[in-house]
Amino acid sequence: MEFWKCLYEELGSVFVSGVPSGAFGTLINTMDSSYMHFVPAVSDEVAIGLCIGAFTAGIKACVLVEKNNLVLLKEKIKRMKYVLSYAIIIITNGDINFLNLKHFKFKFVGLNDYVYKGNNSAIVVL
Amino acid sequence: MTNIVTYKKTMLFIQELLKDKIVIYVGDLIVSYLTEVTKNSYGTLQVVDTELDFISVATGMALNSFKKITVVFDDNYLFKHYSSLIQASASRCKNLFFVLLVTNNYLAQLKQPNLYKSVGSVNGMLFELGFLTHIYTRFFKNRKLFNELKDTYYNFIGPAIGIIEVNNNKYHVNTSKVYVNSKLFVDFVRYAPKEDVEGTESDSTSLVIKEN
Repeated sequence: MEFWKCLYEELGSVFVSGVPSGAFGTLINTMDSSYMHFVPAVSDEVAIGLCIGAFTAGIKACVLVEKNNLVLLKEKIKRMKYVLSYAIIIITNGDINFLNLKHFKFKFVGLNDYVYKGNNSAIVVL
Repeated sequence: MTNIVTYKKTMLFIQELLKDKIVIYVGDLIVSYLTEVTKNSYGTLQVVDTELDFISVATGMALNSFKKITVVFDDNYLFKHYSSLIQASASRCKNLFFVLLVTNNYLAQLKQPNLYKSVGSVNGMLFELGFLTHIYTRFFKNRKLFNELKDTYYNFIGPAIGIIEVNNNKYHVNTSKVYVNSKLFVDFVRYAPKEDVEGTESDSTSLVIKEN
């Protein structure tokens, strides 16, 4: 609850998408519709696509992706950037240092200024 | 074969139908048939890389906007990203439209048939998913029939999918590099005049792109 409230205060209205998997069980249970709008997706790739679409339409978006699936989607996330410029916040779990995501930068404060004004994507690790 | 229309003519009619609208063209063959006018318009996004999922991107745009979003893709792309179509139909977006070009080939130059004819009924499959499914093939035969579609196309309510069977016996290759200015596309999606979902269009010439 505090996490979503924090995001809401930082970003304003937020569009959140992701696969409702067990890894984010606690986080999903604390979701509150007064702070955000959650759309469950059929797969992680679709969830990322929905968030990129939301950003294109002018809405701030976060996506929940499991650490293991982020490995598979790394290349597609990178290639998508060549076609359409976007900035989304990827919320994941566990240690992701082995992914070597050089095009992402880590930032835990000032997400609104960092992500949406600078057109950079960011990863929030829980 | 008599019911099938030519690829080149179909693409010209599609571009006329979707002129000044927000359209994502996906696939190298589809992009190679685009005219310079379409390539340079603000609302057009051309994607050659078919591994990327732009059906879900369009769904995300349609969920967060009142403007009509159209995606043009082929049957090969449909099978590749079928899960995205499930998401698109479940979203129940009234402003989401798809145009499906059925070539019945994996690749235009190889002439290997794909699974489109092997699946019982793709039209029925899409209808059961929740799409309003239309067969547009006959409207692309000549100008008179096309004008009938042109008058009514934007009165449809989504999520809708139009299916056109095209004859793909000539492989057209455009070697020129695809130039994409996604910044203009994003600005068009955000700041272009809102279109009424029920079908009355606003004047697209009054486009004003706000400065950040």
